Amino acid sequence: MDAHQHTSRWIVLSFLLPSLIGFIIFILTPIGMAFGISLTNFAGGPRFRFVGLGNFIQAFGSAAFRNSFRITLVFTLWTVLFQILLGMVFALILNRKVILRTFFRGTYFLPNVLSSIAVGLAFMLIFDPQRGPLNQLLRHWGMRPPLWLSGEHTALLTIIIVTVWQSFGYYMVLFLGGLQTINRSLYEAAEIDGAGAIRRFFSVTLPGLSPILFYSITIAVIRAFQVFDQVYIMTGGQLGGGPAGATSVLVFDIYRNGFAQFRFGYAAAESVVLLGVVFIVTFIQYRGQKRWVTYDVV
Amino acid sequence: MKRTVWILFACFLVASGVWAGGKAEGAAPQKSGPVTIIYYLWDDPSLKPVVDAFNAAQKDILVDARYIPSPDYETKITTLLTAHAEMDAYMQKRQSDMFAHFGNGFIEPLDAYLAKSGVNREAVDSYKDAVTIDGKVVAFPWRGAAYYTYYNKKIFEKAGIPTPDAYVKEGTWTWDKYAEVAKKLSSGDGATYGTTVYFWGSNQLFMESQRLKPIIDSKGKIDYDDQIHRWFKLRKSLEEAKAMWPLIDMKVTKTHYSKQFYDGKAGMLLIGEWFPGFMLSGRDQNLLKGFTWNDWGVTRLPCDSKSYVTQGNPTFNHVTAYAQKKDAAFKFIAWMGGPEGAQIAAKAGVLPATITPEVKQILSKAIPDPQSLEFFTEPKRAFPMLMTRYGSRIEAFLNDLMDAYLLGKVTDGEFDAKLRAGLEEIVKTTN
Repeated sequence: MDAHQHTSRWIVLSFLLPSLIGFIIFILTPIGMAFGISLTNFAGGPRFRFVGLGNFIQAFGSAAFRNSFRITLVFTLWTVLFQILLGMVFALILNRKVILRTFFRGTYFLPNVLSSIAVGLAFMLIFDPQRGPLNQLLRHWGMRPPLWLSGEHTALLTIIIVTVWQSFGYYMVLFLGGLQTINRSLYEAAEIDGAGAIRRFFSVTLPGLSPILFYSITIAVIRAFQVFDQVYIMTGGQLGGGPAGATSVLVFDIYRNGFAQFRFGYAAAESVVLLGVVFIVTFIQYRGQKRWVTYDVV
Repeated sequence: MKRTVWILFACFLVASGVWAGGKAEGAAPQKSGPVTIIYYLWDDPSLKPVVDAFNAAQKDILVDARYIPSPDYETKITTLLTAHAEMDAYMQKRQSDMFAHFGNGFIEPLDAYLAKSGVNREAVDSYKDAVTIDGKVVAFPWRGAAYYTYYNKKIFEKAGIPTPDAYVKEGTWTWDKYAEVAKKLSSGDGATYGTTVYFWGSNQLFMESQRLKPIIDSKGKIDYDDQIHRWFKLRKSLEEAKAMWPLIDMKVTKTHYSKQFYDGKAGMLLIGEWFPGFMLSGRDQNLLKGFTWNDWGVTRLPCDSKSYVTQGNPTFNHVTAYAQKKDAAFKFIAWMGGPEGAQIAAKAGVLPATITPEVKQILSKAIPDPQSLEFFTEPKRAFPMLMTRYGSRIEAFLNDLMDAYLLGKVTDGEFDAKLRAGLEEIVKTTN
């Protein structure tokens, strides 16, 4: 390597350094500290001791933790499914020459830029079982309105609806971008070969979109595992978690254990478990992409 | 050129690193003038006049009050303390948190300050059990402790039944009578509820408190009897009869108990000694619907035993252990807990930690009638609720258990086993 290349490399590193420092300080260091704290009974003050894997053993033995884990999995499954499905459907529709196409693209994306807190508060009013406009409308139509956030079986569904509503526009935009990159000649060739609309979708559109689909599913899964805002705002704050813990997702359980009950060590252990689960799921997806993601479509 | 760019960039990195380091910790040198102390409290309307009155009453100490919204107070104060945010004193909202705060070294013991200052310590002595940990006084009470039955006379008139104070005088104001009255007062369709009891875990312990049962005592011994199950059953039956505001609805919709009472939708409300202050605010802001200032009253909680016991924890202040101005902070919280602070508390419509004839006279303006005033200020035993290091976790657990019970996920047959298992886990896993 000559001196010119050597200097260039140092200049490149220097420009990367601010981001790297930020990454080390704000991402890597807290992760390391979380690992460390998870092995102690840290309660917020200077007096704590090493407890080894005690917090992890306690977590896996705790019914509340297992319940939170199950609820998080259910939430993840349904939100990812509907975010991707709706995102793709609307992308396919708005990729065509429909009237007010640009307006609708912007409108469907808009909820994504709104504050989760504001969205949560607004939907809390909409879904109020007694005074909310939605149930008033259902009563007016002679229907028996659900309890929404007050119902054990409808609380999680309500959070899922709000989450999907807020987020599917983001994936729609991603898919729209992906659809633009698919070579038109592939569709023409497929038509010439006698492929119908459905066959063209599965044989041309889906493979063409597969890289974007892989990215979208990965991001959607990670974000779903991290859900907290909607649950906190819409189910009662620090005493929330829904009726009988129906919406007590893992991050909410971590928050409650840490900040409401001073069990920072235990909460850190839960967060390490969550990190591990998200890592494993992402890894499985990454390895699985070789089977169905196509990068070499012309 | 490239070397120049590299050098400039390196200088920028160094400069930003130094600048991002921030200023050193530690108080700025005190200029002449009053000592400023930073005091954290929540946004209760009765609290601001107290701080203003102290600042007006003397010139040596200036209280810089920092208000945190009430729903998030416990979480935020814990975060601030853990981060050693600049704070000289703070008010404790969930009283049982003081055990964790003291265990973490956030709270300054006050015994030495009490000894050397010679302040009026009646409030401390009156509530000694509630403000002492391991023999050390760790808090100075400002507000007294008691739960009461507040009632809307108009709703009782409409139902044609005597108000609760009549039953108290007869000696028949029991929990069964309370349930009976609640059912008679309610409209049955959710328009008017006979009674409201808020969703806090501690508000599900009236019967246990009156039996002097701590649920888990300070040594970790589980101590409760069947009255806690009786309360759960009572609550469920009243909610099913639409005689009590549904707990889950209150939580999810974040409906405050004061709103229900202001709206004239609750015949009775079982809540603590701060509520007359809320009624003063409600009156001043024209929030009372369907009734006026003279159409409500206060009396004792229902009680099955002849010897009356209520429940309650005093509201108290702490001096932060890492505070820079502990003496000034102590002077402020001692003033709040003394006779002058008591008068301000009374003006705000809350029960002070010390009751004097002057305080009673001031309180009469916050309580609608003399009979109610007598019940409000009478000497009584107030059993402390969940005042051990397990208290915060018991509060959360009872909350969850009540949800599960109301939804039928825990049956009557399973109740005791679930309760005991949950309490045992708390004892086993609390630091």
